[in-house]
Amino acid sequence: MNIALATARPAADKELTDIADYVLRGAPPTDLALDTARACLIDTLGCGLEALEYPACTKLLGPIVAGTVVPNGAKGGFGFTGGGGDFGSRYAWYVKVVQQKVSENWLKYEVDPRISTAQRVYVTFDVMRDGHPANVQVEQSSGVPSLDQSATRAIQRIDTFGPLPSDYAANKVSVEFWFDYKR
Amino acid sequence: MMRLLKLLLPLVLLTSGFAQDWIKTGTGLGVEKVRLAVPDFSAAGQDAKNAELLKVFNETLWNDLDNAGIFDMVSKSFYPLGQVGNPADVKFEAWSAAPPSAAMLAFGNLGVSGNGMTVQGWLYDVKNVTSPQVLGKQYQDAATSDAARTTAHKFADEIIFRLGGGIAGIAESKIYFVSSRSGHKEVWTMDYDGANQRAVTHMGSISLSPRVSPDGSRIAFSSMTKNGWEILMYSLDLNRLVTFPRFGGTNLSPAWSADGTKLAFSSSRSGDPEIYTVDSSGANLKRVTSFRGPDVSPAWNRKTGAQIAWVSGRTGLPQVYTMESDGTNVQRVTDQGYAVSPAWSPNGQFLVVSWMRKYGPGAPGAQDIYIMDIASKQWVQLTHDGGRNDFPCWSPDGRHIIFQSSRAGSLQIWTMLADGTNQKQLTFAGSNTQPNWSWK
Repeated sequence: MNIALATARPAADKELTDIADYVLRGAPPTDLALDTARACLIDTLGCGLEALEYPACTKLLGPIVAGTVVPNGAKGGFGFTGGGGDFGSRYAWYVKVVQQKVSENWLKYEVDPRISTAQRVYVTFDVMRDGHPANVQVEQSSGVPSLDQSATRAIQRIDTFGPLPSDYAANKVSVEFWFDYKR
Repeated sequence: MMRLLKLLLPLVLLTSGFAQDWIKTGTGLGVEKVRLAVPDFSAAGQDAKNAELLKVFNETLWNDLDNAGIFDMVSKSFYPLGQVGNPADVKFEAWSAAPPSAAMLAFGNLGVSGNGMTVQGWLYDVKNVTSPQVLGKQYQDAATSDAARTTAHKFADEIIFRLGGGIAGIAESKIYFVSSRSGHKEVWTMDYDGANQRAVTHMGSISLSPRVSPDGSRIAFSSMTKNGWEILMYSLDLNRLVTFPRFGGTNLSPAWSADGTKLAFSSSRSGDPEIYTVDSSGANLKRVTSFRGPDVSPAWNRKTGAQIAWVSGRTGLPQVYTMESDGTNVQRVTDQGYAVSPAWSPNGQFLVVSWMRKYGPGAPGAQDIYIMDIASKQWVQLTHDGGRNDFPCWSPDGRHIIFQSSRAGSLQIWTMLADGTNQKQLTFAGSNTQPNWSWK
């Protein structure tokens, strides 16, 4: 099947042209404008940092690239600094165990057979000191309920990943796990 | 106004709430088995005894890790030259690069002094040069080949526990089975790898279906007594039979509940064979089924202890069913053919059964081992190699299945990974049947 697509570029939105005009007009900003801009910037940063405390906000962040470790970076960022923060690099073998075990326990036939492909689903959970998973949550839905459910079940099915490494100080580690589905 | 109030918050946030580690990972990154290199442990002493024990240790360790089913063992011909007996000997680059391309390295040394033996073992993540150690262990035991074997089992199990996601290894587990090699069918035992085969009972009769208790202290089995088939109880601590009531009729195939407090078995004391449960002391006998036709071969759900799978002949040919242990909520699991010998997986999700899917005139009649996912009713065939395959039983780690097969000409005990690969024969002398794997 062929779909004819319009190739002509549509005109820019009026808001965009207004902003461009404003910037290019080049009149020096007034002191009031600068003060307001500074307050706006700081307010934005503050709200942004505060938002990291709210799961409803953090779930909108991402996607995260596989294996990325961002020292002092952002979501991220806030996950990787302080108290050790180098779990992924120090205990790569444990990360591999988690990855392997979740993948083994993901039963793809639980997904609605009519679905052939879907968006990545992100699930978060904690691995407690003794190795059992807790607080399993869908962080970002795939839009396919049976896929989301198969992903959370994969983790709930697991009794333990094995105790966290004995020389690791914290009492849990948090995991963000994504599932790519393709039939 | 609200937004401006939040200006002060970031300062507070900077000093708290940051001490959390995140792992970010997902599917599709390849779940190949871990490539594990295991160079022979080096000798810490010179005498002949040292060399002899080292050989036993090295062979046992290699086999245990190879049998575990979670490693891709790096062939020894790829190893860099030179002994690796201590952490200082590890050349990371030589192990992590091709040709070995190892992810993990298990190494160490074994020394004998007088009557004692000391083993030091390490497990290194060779791709992680800054903090490579996953495991470091020291063992001391008598300088005997039995102790060398046991020590190798212990170290293998430590490695498997770490890299296998907290599931204890099975190197120290035992198999109980029926062997005719003394002239009578008696209960025998062996190590998980077929070593150390020896008789447990000396009844001089016919003994069948040994089932070891979850704590490993007792074996329940059925035996031909002068009053017919009864359930007998053997104490592995006392090495003798202990008292267990006689129920009358034909009593067969005892099965332990996961907490070790109950047994289920089939009894024809009231006519038809039906499933009964009883406390492990022999008290509180309860009849669970009352269907026309035979009801036999119960097996408890090892995870929940709340369900029993069993074989019922109510529709003619035997089929596998599940029910709550009080007899309610009966569900049929197999839909055709001839299905027997259900056993539950340690995680409670799967049944393994012996099944002739096509049974009757003109059907080839192969009897094979299948796994059924109880929730989805999906099944997977594990054996295809002919012969009659029966009496499957899961290993405590859920990664292996042991069963009996006639494919080698006589009935012998075989083991395989739970995906059907790596099938190996464990027994060779006489006829050996009805294997049962210890719970840990």
